Amino acid sequence: MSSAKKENSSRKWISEMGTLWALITLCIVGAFISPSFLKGANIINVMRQISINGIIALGMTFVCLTGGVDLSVGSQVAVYGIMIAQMLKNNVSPFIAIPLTLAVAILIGFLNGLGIAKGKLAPFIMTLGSMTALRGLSKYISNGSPQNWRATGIDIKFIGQGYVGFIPVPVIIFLVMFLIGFYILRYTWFGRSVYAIGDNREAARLNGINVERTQLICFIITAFVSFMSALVLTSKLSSCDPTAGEGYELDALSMCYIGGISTMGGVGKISGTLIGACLLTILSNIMNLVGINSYMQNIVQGLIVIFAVLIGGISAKKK
Amino acid sequence: MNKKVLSALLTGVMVVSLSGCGSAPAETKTEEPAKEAAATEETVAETSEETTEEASVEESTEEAATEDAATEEVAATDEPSGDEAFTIGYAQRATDAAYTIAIKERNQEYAKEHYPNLEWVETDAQGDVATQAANIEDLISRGVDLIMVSPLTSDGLTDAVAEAMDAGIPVVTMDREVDTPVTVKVVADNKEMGVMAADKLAEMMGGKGNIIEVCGTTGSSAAIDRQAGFEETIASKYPDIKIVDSQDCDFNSAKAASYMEDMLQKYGEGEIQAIYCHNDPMAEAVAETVVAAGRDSEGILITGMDGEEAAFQMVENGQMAFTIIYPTMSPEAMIAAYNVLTNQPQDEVVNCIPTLVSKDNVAEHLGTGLQ
Repeated sequence: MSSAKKENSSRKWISEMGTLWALITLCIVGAFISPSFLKGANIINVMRQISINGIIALGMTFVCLTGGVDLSVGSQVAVYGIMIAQMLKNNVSPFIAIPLTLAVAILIGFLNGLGIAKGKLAPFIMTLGSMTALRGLSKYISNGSPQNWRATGIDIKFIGQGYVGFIPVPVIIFLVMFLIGFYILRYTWFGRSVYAIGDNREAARLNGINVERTQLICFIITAFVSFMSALVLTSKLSSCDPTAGEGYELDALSMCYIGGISTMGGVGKISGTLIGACLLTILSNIMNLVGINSYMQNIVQGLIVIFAVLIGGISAKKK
Repeated sequence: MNKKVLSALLTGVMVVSLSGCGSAPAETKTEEPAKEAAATEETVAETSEETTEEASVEESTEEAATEDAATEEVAATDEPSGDEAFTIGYAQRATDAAYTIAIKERNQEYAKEHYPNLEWVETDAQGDVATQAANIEDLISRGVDLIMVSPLTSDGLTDAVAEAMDAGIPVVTMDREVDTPVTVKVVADNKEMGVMAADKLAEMMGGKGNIIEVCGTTGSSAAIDRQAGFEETIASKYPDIKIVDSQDCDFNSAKAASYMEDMLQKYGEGEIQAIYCHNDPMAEAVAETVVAAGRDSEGILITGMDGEEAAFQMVENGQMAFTIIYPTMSPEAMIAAYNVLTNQPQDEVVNCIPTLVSKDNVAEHLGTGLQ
């Protein structure tokens, strides 16, 4: 077991380095084909773009590491975004609206986790259901229309558009969350429990890990990151569409898988997710700068996911 | 432990937000239809063949007085009393956009006021073609007197609509069309909107400069026509204007914002004169992005389409150059449906004219936009 683990981690290291090399190659190619790519303003721009989807991918990493998946994050973004937008539209103070939405997020994450941990539903099934239901909820409470609060004069743009020095606030939020995630996974009992469950559920249970509680907390984490993403997105646009966040679950999963998180759990690092997030976002940035049609962009992104997992997947299969 | 409190709060929030968004559109709309109706009835009553152009009513009518007279005149003749009882089957294509909702609500609002005895049977396909076709079949079996439908796609719904027509149920299509004869089709021309946008933008740009086009979902008829009308006009009439970049942003504000962030990197100061967006949410997001990037002092002209209230506000405060209202087919569709039900003369095609809202006339439109 321990030698297998060692082999695993060395392969893992190779695949993570592989993604890093891919990222570096991409940046070099980008610098050659687009003169705007390496400009400071564009780099800041890309960092800000990474943060919205990347925040979700950070939380998704926890769920993926337990061998689960959370398909509802995109719909959750819409629900929280619409809640914030609609409350602000009705002149509710952001100091009430934002914490209240956070409370709802924790509740929704709790319910997701409850169905999976206590109800023994497969995460795919549970979150497939909540994905559909929450998308419905976001359309229901918004009456299907985009919500904005521009008329009220309430200004929370700082969260989505502000800067501290020259670094955009969303980037700071993203980096802080990354560091917290990194710390939890690496240095805490909870983080080790997450890996242990993904590695071997029964063994983890026998070793005294509370599997249900750990799973439940992971889904509260995805709800929390969805909330943070919704907050950044909504404040950035000063509005929220009921269709906001559509496809974010797949973006986040792509980032995790590209970054070397195993689809079966137990293997992978949050730093891999960070690289995956950078890779996908920079790719889209370069393709936009060069003027590549969005259909072609989808083709390229899809192929990258397949190849990344193909290369990285060898280690997961070994397991 | 705090679950009860949280769920109580959630419920409270939902109730508040529901009442907040539910009442707003209804209030703003109530005085408008009366005026428009008068104008439409007038044209229907006094002309026969050529009404297509005139029946389409612009939201702003100046000659209120003459219309009132016309309404009275019409009422005095054999105009039905408005009390007849009919059942209208309404096949909604989706409820995920302000516009599709507005078609339904504004027509029904008008009906409530003018034809109080209509009964409604509503279905909602939620964006699924097969569901909408099945819904229409259900309405046929129910034996409604008339079907109003805003079809999702022509291909998917032609058969269902043909079935209704064969069953002797008159069909009024709104916005999009189907490939079979219907009793009345109420349409607006997206291509015409593209042409209007090109001409107005060219005028504001002084006939030269660079434009970035932020497109809707490729393959959707709105995006195809808005693009074709715009690009053909620019290419044929304004040789010094260039569309330097364009991208499918899926009618989605977050995608448009992200695309524009990239474009603002690609094109430096003074290299973009205008940004033509295929809908208002994208235009609003683009405007926000331009401000966030500190490029709002360059005077980049940002334009949208559809007629959202938020866009009107941006036109008012100068963040957007103009938007073009895509007609909500109301009350034209309702009037046409009622004419058919009561055997009044009715043209087969009603063409609603889009309205361009710029700084000059935005004051008249504030408060009437899609919420």
